Amino acid sequence: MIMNRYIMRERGGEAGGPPPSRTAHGLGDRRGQFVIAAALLISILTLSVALSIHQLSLQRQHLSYEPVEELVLGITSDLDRCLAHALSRASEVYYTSGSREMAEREGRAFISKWVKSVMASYSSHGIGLAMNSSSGSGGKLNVDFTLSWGNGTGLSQVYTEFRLDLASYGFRGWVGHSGKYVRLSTSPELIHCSEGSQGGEGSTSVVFSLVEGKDAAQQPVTGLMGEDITVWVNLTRTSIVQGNITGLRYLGMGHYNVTFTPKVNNNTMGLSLMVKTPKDRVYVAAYIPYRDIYVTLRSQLESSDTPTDEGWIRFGDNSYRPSTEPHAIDPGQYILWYTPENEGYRFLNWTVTGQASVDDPHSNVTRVVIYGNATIKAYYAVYTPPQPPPEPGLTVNLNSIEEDGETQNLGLIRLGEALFPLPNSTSIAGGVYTLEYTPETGYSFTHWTTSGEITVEDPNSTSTRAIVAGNGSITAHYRAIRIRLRSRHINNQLQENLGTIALDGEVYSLPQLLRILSGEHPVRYNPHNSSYTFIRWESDGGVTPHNSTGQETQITATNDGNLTAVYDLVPSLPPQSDDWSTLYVDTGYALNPISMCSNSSGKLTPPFSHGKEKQEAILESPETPDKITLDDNVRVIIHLRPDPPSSVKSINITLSFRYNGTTYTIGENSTNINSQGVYELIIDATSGQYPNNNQKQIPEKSVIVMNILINLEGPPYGTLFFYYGPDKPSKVILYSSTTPS
Amino acid sequence: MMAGLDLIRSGRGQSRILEAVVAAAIIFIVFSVSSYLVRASEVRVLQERADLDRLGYNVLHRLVESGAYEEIQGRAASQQELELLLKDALQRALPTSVYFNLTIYRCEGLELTPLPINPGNMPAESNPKTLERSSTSTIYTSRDGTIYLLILTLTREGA
Repeated sequence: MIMNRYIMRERGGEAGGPPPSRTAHGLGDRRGQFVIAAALLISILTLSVALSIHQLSLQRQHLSYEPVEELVLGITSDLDRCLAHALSRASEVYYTSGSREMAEREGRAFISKWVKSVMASYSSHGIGLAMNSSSGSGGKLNVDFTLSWGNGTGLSQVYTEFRLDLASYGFRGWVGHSGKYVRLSTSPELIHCSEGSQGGEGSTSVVFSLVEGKDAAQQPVTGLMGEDITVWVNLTRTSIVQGNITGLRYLGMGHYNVTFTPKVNNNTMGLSLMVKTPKDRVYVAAYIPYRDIYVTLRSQLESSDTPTDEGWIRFGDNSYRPSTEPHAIDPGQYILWYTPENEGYRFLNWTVTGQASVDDPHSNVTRVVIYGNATIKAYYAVYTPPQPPPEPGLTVNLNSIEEDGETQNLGLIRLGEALFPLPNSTSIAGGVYTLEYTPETGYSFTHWTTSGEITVEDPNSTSTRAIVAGNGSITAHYRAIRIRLRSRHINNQLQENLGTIALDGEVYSLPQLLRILSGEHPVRYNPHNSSYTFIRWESDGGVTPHNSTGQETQITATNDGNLTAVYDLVPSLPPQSDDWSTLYVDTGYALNPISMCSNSSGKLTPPFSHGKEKQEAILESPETPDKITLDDNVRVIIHLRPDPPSSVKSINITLSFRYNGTTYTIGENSTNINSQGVYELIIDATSGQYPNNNQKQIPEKSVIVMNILINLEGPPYGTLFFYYGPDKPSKVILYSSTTPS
Repeated sequence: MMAGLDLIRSGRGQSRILEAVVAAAIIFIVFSVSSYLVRASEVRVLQERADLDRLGYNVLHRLVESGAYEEIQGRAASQQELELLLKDALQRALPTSVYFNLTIYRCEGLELTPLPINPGNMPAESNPKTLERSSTSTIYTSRDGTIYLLILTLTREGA
């Protein structure tokens, strides 16, 4: 401004005079501006240089300090300690629980806590921490735990790869890895067993190595104490005891020699070793597996060049058939017992190869001590027992007799190889002979009797052995079948044995006990008079009627038994009633009201059967004269005859009604067969189907339908019927007569 | 006429003098600022703090990595004894001209709980400038699984 004002003032001064030379005057005006512009340029350059020198100076002296290295070092260093402790926790849980999953969960829980602590502690630095397992799955807590305590070498290891960011210093992408492992190694060759002095139990020394590390480099674990080691010893395959550590010696380079009791078997081994590192308390274990001892049991005939493997060898509590198959056992003492194949052989001696010894090789029962794998062989020889001198010329009389003496000497007796008709007599030498009786057709054997110097091994068996030591007789006893014929009224027990029964064409008054031969016989019941009618046959024991409801039929007799004809008076009218509360079962498979009852029983006959293993009948009522309101529970009472219906398994009832051409199901129920012959089935009417959803309402002019399905076990199916009588009517009670419908 | 020309000439000479004075003033000011920057008057303070930061991290690192902290913890029968032992250890590790104060937090995930101990020798009346005080921290997981945050504050005597 000053310059401008000065220039303006200079121009104003020349207003009245001639204009100055333009070139000389112009240069003179701008010369001062150049000086100032040059000064400004110099100033800018100087300031830039000064600032650069200032920055360089600060950097040279490390005054712009950012503690990234220290922070990263501190966190990664503590991550090592964190992983070591996580491994300690995981391995301890694995040791106590045996669950790898629980162990890893425990280790990861601690790492999670550590990550949160780091986040909280360095939150002002904008820290970011992510871990990746070696398997590649990412996340803040992804670490790999390896708890492999296998045989020989045990390994407890944790490993992770991590990425670290410190956003406040612009430090991103630090990638590193960290881990910790402890390895325990031993082997069967490093086991040394010492016998105890003067019969002591002895001890075992094991050399093992214990190393730990982070990466490939490993370093020995030192400072191990006796209490950091636990040893288990397999006395047998299943018996494991904890060893008592008596000594521990450090051999250098992570190798230790631990001594403990009891003594490990040289052959079976079986040893587990668990070590806890003294510094980080990481558990690791290794084991030397139990080795089975095998014993092979053989037997050999003295005259044979190769094992014959006959007879039985009892070894301890088990008996084995001699064979080439080895048996896994525990070392120890066992009872050894050889039993020849039969009486034709006898034991000679034992031979043993391998690590076993037999107390008495010449006794078939002895004791064997097993140390290791062994083969035990029993030698035997043919044995001929001394035979008693035969006593020739003994007389044996053979005969048979029926129990009540009705007949004698029926049938045949086989003595030794000879078959004798009866009566008979034979001369034989003393000894043991097979004895067998074959009865006449229709008779059965009962027992043997003997006299003289003859005995029978089993007097009640038709085929046995007779020991003949001198003269005597053998008698076979036999008998015919006894059948008792009788009759009874179906209800009134006092009216018994009316009428007659014809058996094999001969009429017998009742009751009657008869002898008959086994087999089939025709039978017929003759009622006392026309007031009585035959109902069915009942039988028990060895008597079976072919058709239990046939008045004239066949019976099969196989043993003693009873045959009873059941009769009844001609039925009278059923109870009278004017309402529809009860429907009665009647002829024609209809459920009739009382006005349509026909006074005879309804039957389930073959033309109405469906299928081979069931019989089905459909019973329908006439149209209902009025609307009916059902009880909640409709009761169906069935008297099924004959009783028991031997071939019937179950009864199924379905109750429905038909109205305007549509069938509505009221309900169904089923029951198994019983011994009373009476079945009451409750049908829940509340869950049935009804027109217009009128619950339990059967409209006027409906037809009630009862479908009866009887499941049968198999033939003979016989004839089944619903008994109808004045005292025991089969019926369907639709509603209580006292309840208004 | 000549007088008029002389007047004009003398006016031009004055403007030259004024321009030279302005340019000289600008250059003087700029040189003064540059001199100030190059001299870096706060270097001593920055140097002091950076040194204290390094010293703090160094001491904390040695304390935890050498196992000294773990050993002191195991040896101390009470919190008071722990405080005394830590104070003793820090005094040995630090120059006598440096005041220190160690604050220890117990970390339970995101929750930090201060321990009721405060090993240090910082005089109560000291109130140094912020630039002359250093605060460094490290996280430490002990063998029993306890996680600690150790914050060491250092101040040089007479700062």
